[in-house]
Amino acid sequence: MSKAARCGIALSVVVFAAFSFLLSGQSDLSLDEIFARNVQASGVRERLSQVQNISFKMGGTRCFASANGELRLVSGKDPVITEVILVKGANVRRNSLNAITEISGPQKVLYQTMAQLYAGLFSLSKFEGRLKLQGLKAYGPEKLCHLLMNSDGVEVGFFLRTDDFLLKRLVFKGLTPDGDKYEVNYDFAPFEETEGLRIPLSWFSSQVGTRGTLAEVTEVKTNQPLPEDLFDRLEVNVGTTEASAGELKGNVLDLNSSPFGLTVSTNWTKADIEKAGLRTGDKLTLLVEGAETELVFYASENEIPPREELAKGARLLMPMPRGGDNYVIQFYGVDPGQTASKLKPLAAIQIKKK
Amino acid sequence: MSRIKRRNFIATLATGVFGLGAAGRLQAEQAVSNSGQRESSSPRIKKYNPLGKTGLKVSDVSFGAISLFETNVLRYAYDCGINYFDTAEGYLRMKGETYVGQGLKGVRDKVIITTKHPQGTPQKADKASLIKRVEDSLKRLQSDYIDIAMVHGLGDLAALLKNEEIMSGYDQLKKDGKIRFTGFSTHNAKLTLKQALDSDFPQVILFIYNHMEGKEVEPLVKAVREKGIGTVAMKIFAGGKQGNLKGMISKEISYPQAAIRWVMSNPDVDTCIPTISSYSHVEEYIAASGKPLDRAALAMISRYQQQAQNLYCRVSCTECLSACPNSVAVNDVLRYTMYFEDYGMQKEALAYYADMEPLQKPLGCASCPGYCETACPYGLKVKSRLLHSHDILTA
Repeated sequence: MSKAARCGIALSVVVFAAFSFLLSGQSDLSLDEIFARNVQASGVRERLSQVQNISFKMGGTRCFASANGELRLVSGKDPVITEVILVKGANVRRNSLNAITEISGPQKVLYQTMAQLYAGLFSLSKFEGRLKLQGLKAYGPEKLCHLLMNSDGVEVGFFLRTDDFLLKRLVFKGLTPDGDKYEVNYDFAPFEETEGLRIPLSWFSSQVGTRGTLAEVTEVKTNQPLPEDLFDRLEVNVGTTEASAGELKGNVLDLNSSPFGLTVSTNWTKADIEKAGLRTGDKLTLLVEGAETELVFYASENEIPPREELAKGARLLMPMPRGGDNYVIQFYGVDPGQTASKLKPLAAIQIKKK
Repeated sequence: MSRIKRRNFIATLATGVFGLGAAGRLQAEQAVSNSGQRESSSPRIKKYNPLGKTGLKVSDVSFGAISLFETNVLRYAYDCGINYFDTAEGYLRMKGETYVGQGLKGVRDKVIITTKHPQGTPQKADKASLIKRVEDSLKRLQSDYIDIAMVHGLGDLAALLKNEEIMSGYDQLKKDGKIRFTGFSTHNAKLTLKQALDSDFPQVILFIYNHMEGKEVEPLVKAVREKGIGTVAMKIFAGGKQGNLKGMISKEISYPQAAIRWVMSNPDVDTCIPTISSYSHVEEYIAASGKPLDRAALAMISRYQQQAQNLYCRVSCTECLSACPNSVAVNDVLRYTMYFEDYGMQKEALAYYADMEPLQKPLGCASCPGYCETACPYGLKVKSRLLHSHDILTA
């Protein structure tokens, strides 16, 4: 055997031994080690003790999460708040246009889990002691480390990348109160540095059976001076309504204009309409800061005449299209002029039956 | 040392020499594997069908790549057995082909890729432009060839066949080995499938076929299939309105699975291309592969039909088109609204609408008596929908 060959073999043995040694220290990653790597990779070990709260926007929803795992989701165009979802301890409550409901079942587990995830700055730190290692799950060439948590009968699967141990997927599986399948998936984009944090700035969420939506995270802030009772306050900011026979008082929630007219979202709900005793075809006067406009009321979308039958400049009070809880004032193909100039979020509005 | 362990070790050794970063990844995978937990299984495609007379065999559930969250989803779908991938020059604002190329890198020779190019305004419809556009697609797809090159959104095959420049361009691309087969996608199947019976240009056709508007075109689908043309179904979820309807998921089946089973229960359909955006879509849709249209699926379909009857515009119906005195492209406008409202593809819908000729838009509809509405055999409030469409698509 030549000297060169002997050197080659010796070098191979050294390389083999070196990598065997390296591998021996890694041969069995336990749940604790995976957990520790996730926390380390998220860069939150130190940050967790420093971050008291985090807030960010996802589309039209603003999210506030405290380090204690409380969560507040707020929807509505500032200063209007049409919906608040609050996660605190064992309770998950929703206030939509002053209708307060308790969220239960798998939806409750989802909100509670997201609250803990945000509180841990998208690491697993808030799930310590609750996870079981399930092994690897291959998604094409990418293999993800699968950890499982069972919460109130809902399986919550955490899938971590095996290169950096950061969260890639989150899957909720359970049954709805009606006994139907419930499965919601979150696919997180790679984590990015922002505001001194390392978090995903977008994710795709989909419920089985639906197409899903892309959430893009903006306006990430930490340690904002928040009111002490922020995670207790369930109230919305939709003004107030007063209803009596033939008369309604309320507020504007939103305004949207288009080439075909103006849509004014109001805080009047079906209950207000019923109290006022309005019927389809009723002629109404809309009062905004002294300006008057004529409206016609329609109780349901189906009763609204085809558009060609509506005279140009028709003004309607009608239910929110596509199944919303509240009513809208619709100005068709007309400049609402003086009235529109007085309309802004939370502006006081009134209607009287003629 | 077991075979798998030895293989992993060799991989680790090799990567250790060439890159410690990659080795770390393999070590981590190995370490998790060693923890005694078995790997979770993935669903598999159960059935492959011949694609017309092309000689290709395609998975019964395939991949529509119009809306992707990440490219690895394509590779996961391939690993689960999907081998037919549909994209287009214009998808994802000109990035769709790039994503498909990235996602399928390394398995290109094992998959069938269809891409589509519109021929007509605002695109130049001459031979040189077509060849340049196809070559640009090849670069984006990181491939030397396109399996099936389709004319995108063809309304009238006769008009296309008269365009000698385009026909000559496709012939040249075939001769040069840059495309293997030609075809078209269409929202006007009643006309174009009939025309396809007299032409050799279409070797594969992509058309709308679902439980809300499938029956009308079934005789034509059968005829083109008998001629040897490959048949690929799109818009198989009939508007994708299930998110706003009740009872669209049960213990046994989800609505998309039922819709896939309905489409693939027709033996004249070779494959279908549901839009797949995420890993969960891959798993949900593949679970319907090879499954029959059973009672649970039919019940689900029936629930959808009852609730969406007056909501869904049957895009291939086209009764409204001949009724409109102003040549408004009613079905296209309503299709873009469907993309906007039901598919969650707002940006794409706005772009498609912006590209339409002004004459095709419902700009003069407010003062029209609504001939389209009278013509609609399904009782849709077409006129108010058109006006609403213009509102949201120009917002």
